[in-house]
Amino acid sequence: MKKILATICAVCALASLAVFAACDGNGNETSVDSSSVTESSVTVDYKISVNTTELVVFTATSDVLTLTESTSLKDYLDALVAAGQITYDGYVSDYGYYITTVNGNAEQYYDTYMTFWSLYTNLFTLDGVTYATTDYGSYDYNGVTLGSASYGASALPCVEGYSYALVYSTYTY
Amino acid sequence: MKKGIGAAISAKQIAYCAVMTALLIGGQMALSSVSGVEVVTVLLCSFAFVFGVRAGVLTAAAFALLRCFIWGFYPAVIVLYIIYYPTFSLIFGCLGAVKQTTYGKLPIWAVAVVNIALCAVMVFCALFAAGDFLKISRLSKALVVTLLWVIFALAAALLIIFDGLYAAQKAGKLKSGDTIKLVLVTAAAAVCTICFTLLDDVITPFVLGWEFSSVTTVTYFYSSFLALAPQTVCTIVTVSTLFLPLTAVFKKVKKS
Repeated sequence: MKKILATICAVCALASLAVFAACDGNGNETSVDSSSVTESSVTVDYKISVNTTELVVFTATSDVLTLTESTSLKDYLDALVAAGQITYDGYVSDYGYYITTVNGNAEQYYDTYMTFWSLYTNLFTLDGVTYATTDYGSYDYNGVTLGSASYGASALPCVEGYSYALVYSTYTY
Repeated sequence: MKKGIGAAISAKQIAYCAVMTALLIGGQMALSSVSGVEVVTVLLCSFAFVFGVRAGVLTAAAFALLRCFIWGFYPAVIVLYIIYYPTFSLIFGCLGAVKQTTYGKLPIWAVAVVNIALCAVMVFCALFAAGDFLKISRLSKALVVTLLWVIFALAAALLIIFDGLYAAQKAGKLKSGDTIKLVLVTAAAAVCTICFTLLDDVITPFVLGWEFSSVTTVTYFYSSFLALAPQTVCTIVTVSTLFLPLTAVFKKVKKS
């Protein structure tokens, strides 16, 4: 019996070591290895959010939130909300969190068109997975082309150095 | 008085269809904030099963069009809904038209069809869950792979139960066809739910003019697993638990 207990303790200790080995000094998971990013990071000349009721643009930085492999754009937006920089609202859709309102400006339905918040990023491909394409929409900001995101905010990874834009757009029926 | 598809539809039947359409839209709206959870499948399949092909198809068409007033008129969604839901009602309306005695003594070809369908679901799920070609967001991959294995397990359980019940039926130990009917309907609903997402993967690129081999289409296919996996689990759970009580209620309403 004692041998079994000792074995269980040893296994637990090894598992704990393995968990801590993957964390930094603050107990957070280590940040994403830049070598895993297949597309080279685009150097942009803006770090501060463009923040209006029709456009929000920012480049992900660990200054706002420690970015890990499991950090989503929604986590980052939540950090921006906590810092008092933006406000937003939405709901969980099948494809991830769908943003309906940013800075108090909500999507609207009219007879022949609708206005909505579309999500763009230059995180096109990461580890063989496509996160955005320009095939069904793009947004140019300061000479950088951002593609329409393929996922909602909660399924879109937030990676250091990449840019994200929330653009108030119009769709005509 | 003409009977069947060609017969005139009564005011009572129209009222049933209208109430059911309202229930479907209400059910979809009420659960729209809960990702992957829906009651449209179980409500519509139970309704079509009891009220028949015509009432089911009418209700499905009305639902597909009227829901646009709430969720917007998107051409790809309208085409998808107007093809899928009436076809879905047609399948379950036909299953409902099968005599109870047939379910009590299932023909071998029907057993073969159910076995093939469930095996196809299992192979599909295992392939995408175990293989390395599911190019989906790293934030959702673990959840989707887990749900695909859950569908695999549920399909395997349905297959074992179905074949066990058929063996008991053949041995004369199973009198009622209700349980075997429930498993058959659940399997059909699960296959239909998977087909719904796969149909969407064809219709959306077609309507939006994307090339079928383009990155956009392939990305859309992979990301659709975020919807496919939870919806199929939801369908298997809701249909296997709610189909018999709902059909019992609908039968009472129809008799009144």
